[in-house]
Amino acid sequence: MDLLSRILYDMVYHTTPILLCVLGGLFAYKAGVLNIALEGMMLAGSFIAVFVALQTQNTFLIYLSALLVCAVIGLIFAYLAVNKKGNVIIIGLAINMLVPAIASFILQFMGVPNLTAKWVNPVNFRFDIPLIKDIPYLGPILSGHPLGTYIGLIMIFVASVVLYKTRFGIYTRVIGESPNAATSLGIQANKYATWAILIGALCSAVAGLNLSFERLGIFTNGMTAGRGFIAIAAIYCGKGKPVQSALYALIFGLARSLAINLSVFAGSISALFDIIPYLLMIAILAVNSAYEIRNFRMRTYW
Amino acid sequence: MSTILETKDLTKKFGDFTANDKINLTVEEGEIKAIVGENGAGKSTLMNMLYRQIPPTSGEIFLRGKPIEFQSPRDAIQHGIGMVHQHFMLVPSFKVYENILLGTEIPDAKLRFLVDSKKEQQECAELVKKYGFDLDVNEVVENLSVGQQQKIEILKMLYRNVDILILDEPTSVLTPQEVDELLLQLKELKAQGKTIILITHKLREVMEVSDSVTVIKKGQIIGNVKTSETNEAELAQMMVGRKVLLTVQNDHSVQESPETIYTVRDLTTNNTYGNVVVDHVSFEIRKGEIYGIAGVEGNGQSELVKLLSGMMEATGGTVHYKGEDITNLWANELRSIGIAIIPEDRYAQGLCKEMTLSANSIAGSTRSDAFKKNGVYDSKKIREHCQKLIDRYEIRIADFDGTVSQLSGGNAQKLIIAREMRSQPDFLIASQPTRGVDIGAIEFIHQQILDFRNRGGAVLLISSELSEVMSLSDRIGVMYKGKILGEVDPLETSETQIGLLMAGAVPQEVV
Repeated sequence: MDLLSRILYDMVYHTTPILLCVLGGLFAYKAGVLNIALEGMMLAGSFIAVFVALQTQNTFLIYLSALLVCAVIGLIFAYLAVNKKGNVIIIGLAINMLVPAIASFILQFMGVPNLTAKWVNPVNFRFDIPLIKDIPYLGPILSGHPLGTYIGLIMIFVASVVLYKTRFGIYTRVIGESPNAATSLGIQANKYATWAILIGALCSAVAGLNLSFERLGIFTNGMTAGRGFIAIAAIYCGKGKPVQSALYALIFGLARSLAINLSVFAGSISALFDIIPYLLMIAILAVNSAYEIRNFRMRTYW
Repeated sequence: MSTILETKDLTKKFGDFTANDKINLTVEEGEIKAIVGENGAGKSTLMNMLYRQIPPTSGEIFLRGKPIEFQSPRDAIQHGIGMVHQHFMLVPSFKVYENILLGTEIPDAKLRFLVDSKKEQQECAELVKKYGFDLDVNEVVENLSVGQQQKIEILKMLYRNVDILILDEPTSVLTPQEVDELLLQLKELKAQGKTIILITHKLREVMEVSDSVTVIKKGQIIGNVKTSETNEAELAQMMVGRKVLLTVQNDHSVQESPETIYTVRDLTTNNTYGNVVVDHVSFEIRKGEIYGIAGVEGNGQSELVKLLSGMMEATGGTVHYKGEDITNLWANELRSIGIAIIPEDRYAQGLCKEMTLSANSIAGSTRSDAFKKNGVYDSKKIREHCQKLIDRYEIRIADFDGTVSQLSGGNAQKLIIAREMRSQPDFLIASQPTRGVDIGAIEFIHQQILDFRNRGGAVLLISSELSEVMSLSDRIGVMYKGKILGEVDPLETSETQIGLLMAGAVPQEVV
């Protein structure tokens, strides 16, 4: 594999967890709920997946447990934020701090610095897709990925259909854009907001699984490294539209891929390349915002 | 005729405040019932209970003689009661048909979880045709005029086959022509057997369209009359509880001096989306003159006021005051040179609701040394100042040390006027000065503006109430799509002529 196709393969590979978070998280965004707990949910998914993998080699159980735990966290978030009208920033922040704290406690209790499921060989979790893998140039980039990546790519389509062609999607967008219209017609905003948050939680679980279990078989605390927040940035820049938001996720994946592939040539300062995705995030948000307010003439703060 | 809707001792309390007190309302089938009352009298609360937007504290509702208890607005709709709200309940980014069918989407014949948008468009187009509305069902709502948006709201209810249609202040945002069209449509719906409940404070419309009138004051019904047996003056007196002058005495005879005090030239700005919303607006105001700006809301008046009161920046054009260039000055700089501002939204821009009366009474002059002692605020001086304003302008308060939120709309507005007039300005920008204010206070505020003019002050009056602009102004500029389309003399122009300008019809001769 030459450098270019390696960079592009890695781009897709590293986009996956962000992409999954974006496609799940945009439902809550459309429903008017700012879910900053994506990060914590993803970390919970990573942790539970490897933790269960230490007990059993049943892949189904591993997926199920990660999804369940994230669903519970999602429900807690939804209950506090939607039903109890709590401050979403504080609740989200609490979840983001609580998850690594619990993980850290369990690691300490077990007396290990991180969790390693030795039976997991990441190569076994990579699938080639017939037909697509034989396409010149594109094949090696799109094929040979773990399950999570394919779920993510399919989700772009699924999210578009759900959001624009089903009642659930229509109501989700309505409660975010004009909640009063929803109420006046008897559309129960709480119900749809809760489901929207839950979808984000489940997608975060798959993202976390991908990150720790499918790729490495290893969990280290803090391994999500801000991907949940990068996902939020992508959702905002893409205004919650599935395709646009996915493209922003891809840009961040590219940055990550560049950081890894180029750092080989950088020698002792290679660690510096790790800041590229984060630098890019700030740059994109700044440019995006500057573009949005280019016509802003008001003197008020907002 | 039989009774279709009846309430028995319907009561709604918000904490200690009784918004509706034992309301016994009777609506006959197939009639147009007008419910009138001042702002804050409890009309909207009553309707929201009928529509189950809010639950009643006690009392019963009878529909065709049977007691009913709705659980939600959807429930009310299923029983045949639909409501068109004063503030539209539409989704701006959705298309017309999507809005009409919101909540009752038509599923695809095969894939039940998908929505059949083709069929939806068809059905809506048929509905639009059936009732003779003029609408494109594929248009996105945010591109439509307010009048058209209101039609969508009515269609939304008609699609759901309601028998009783409640309209909450439906004409407050329409041009006179659109009002006439709506009233005709209501009569048409009545002819098709619908019952209509019309909530309004505009008595002319009540007289024109309704069959019977119920007057509400302070949460209680104080009168039921047949429209044919009453008149506007009598209704107004019932609403307020005393005789009111429906129009203030405005003698335009006050000699206007030729001296121009305020000049706006080619003022232009754009909104966040980059659309030009104030487009080369020019006018001048002389001493001792009230210059009115009329227009349907959303045609740039709001932005114009923001530009002139220092809340927004102009991209082009100039503003001169007493010969000085004051373009894009900040609000405090405008006040320091003698310009007083009554802002559009009294709570967003005029007052801080959660602060005390006295703190609000010095807003805008907080840098002045008059309220300070040794460099820090002297609460005694501030309180004295506030008390003076309250006495002089007869502001009715409950608690001197309480917050502004205790004041009714009219008294809050009086506090703003008292504060702004105190600095003895030469020029007053008054934007929507009587919006949401009761009739008694309207009279007072209008008198204040006229007195100011008669003392030689110049006034820029922006209002969406055409009658207000017509009765107070000495000259009127009509705004349409960001431009001043024409300038007219209110004494020589009819409401119809101005209405045409408001709707964008280019005048044949401009006064």
